[in-house]
Amino acid sequence: MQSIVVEHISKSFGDVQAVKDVSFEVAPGEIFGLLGPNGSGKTTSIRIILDIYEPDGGQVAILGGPMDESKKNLIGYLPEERGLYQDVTLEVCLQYLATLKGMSREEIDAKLPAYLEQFELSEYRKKKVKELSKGMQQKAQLIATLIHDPQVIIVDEPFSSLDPVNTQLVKDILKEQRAAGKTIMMSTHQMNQVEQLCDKIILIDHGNVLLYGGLQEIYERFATNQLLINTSQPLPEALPGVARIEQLNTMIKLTPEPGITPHDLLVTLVNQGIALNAFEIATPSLDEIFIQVVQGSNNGNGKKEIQHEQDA
Amino acid sequence: MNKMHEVAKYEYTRHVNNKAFWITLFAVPAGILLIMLLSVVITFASIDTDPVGYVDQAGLIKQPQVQPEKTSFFEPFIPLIPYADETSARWAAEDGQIQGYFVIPQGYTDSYQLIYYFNKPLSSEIRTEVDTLIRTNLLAGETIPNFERLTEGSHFTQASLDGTRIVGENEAAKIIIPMVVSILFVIAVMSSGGYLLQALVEEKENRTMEIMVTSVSPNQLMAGKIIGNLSVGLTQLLAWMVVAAAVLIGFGDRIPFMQNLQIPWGELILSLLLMLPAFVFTSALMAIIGSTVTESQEASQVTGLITLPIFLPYFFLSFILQNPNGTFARILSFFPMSAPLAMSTRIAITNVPSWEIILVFVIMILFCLLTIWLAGKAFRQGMLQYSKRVPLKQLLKKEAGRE
Repeated sequence: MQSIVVEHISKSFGDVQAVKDVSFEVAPGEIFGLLGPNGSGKTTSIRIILDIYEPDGGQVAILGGPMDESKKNLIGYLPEERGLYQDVTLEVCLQYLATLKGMSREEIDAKLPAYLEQFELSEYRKKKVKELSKGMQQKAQLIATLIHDPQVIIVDEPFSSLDPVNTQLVKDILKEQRAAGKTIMMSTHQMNQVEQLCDKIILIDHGNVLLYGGLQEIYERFATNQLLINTSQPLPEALPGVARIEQLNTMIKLTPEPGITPHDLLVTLVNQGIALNAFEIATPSLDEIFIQVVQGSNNGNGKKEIQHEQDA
Repeated sequence: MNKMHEVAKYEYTRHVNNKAFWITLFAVPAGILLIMLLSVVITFASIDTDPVGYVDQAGLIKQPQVQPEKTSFFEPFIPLIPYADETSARWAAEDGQIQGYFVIPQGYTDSYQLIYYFNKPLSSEIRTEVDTLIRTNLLAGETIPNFERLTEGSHFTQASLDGTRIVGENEAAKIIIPMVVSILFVIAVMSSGGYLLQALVEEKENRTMEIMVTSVSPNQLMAGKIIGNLSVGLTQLLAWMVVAAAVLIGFGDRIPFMQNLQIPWGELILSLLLMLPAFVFTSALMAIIGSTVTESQEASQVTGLITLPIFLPYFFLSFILQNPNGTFARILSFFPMSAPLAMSTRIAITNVPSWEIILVFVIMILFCLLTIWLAGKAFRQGMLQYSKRVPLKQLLKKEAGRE
């Protein structure tokens, strides 16, 4: 059963249509990436899923039905606008937020110290929240999101303000949660994190769905037959069957002529006596796909194709 | 229900653990006590106890003034010194030995006129001493039962024609107690409302609203906040009342109008009942402000719009006291925001017709419903508006966010 089912939701604020006919599904044991440029409708979509906003059209089912009060304890949410009570100690703040997720005092006392330890915040627990750095507050907010062991975890830009060590910590935690069968929905701009973590993504812009599907499937969909090679030898100016040769930072990108496969090119290179240090199929990065799709959509020719893909 | 309890508990302990709470708690009664004490001390300190002379040309004074066994700062004694003639009295006055002298002329018992010559004007304390001296001498030798009681004059009891209301003389407490309790209650309601407003604006300033509404229902959140912050206000009120009770128990018998104190329970309970809707609509109005503004500074500016009409009757207290059933007093007691103070003042001092009391409750309950409805809209529209104030006009329109 899918944990989150979003069907044709739309939402306007005055004359601005923030979300138009967005549909997707997220399953347990899956990290789902909600991607899009700034102001694309990501946060509005999340708020509709969490019943903070009621959609103008469409519907959302979460954990098998509409959102209700009892499900609030099963959801962990890290909002884009981070918020902690600034004037109380870190411990009091986290205890309070945990009680609001239905945890008893005993459960909190049993779990909170371990989380504080894991996020290296134990020594700051008696400090006022406002005295903590932005990164520490971010970690504290993640504890508030996870401490009640939610079934559904929705995190909006979970890596902002984190250093590489803590970014890795959060990534590991998200992977652990996925392994434990939790449903995770993540909104972020950091495509490298999406590439490393997400099983499935949706890309929205101006409220429209531009791209939706499994990450592997999307890579395949946008794959070209270009090659990336690394060699210590200089390449000849022209190679048979190669339309274009581009020097990248450490690699050389070869674009084959129509009808030529990567395998044909490898044979050509070997026959030319070129010693290869590296040889790989040039899969476009998610960043490239993102830019390609968003720019295509803004030029007016991407949307139709993508809608078609979504229907398929 | 459990989460509402948690919200209330958090709001309460947060304030009670705050220094500002304790400062307010002690500063208000300490301030009031200090002002009362100062005014009493200043009053007594201004009494001039220098001797006063008299020249008895009428030969009336056979029994000189009797000095009381005990005198103190609060029981002052002004000695009255006889002089043989006006010349010596004037000389003593000019010399500063006495603050003035009075002459009991020949034929005093025909005219009952005295003349007072002074360096300093005649004080009520001097009058009392002189009156006592002359009365005692005028009535010397007469056998009058209850002489002291007779000189006090009659006591009046006022009763309304329908017999429902009886106020005895020297029962100022009956009027003052409901009025003071109402004012204290309004202060408690306003401070609770202020805490509520602060709590709501802080949710916005801390950006915690999104976490809150995905953890608790808006109703539980609001109810928890209202109960928590009301409890803070009531704790203050209770503490002040304990102080007041302690003062009354300790010093009550030294305060004239508190002697033989009878608490007018009927008026008191009615006044307190008026405070219930007042609390509800104040909370709702504070919730409207808290949901629509974005900063505490902005909130405190708008709060004046609520505070002013609620305390309006207090500024016009003398009008209401003079004519408690007049048009002005009635208008104030039917306008929902000024009604709690205006109506409880009227109830304390006069006989307000039952229909007027029922009407004011109906008006206040309707006003409560209106403000709760608006507060709900304001909360839904304004809770996630961190940077932009929600204009009132938008509140009254159909909701864009949720409908």
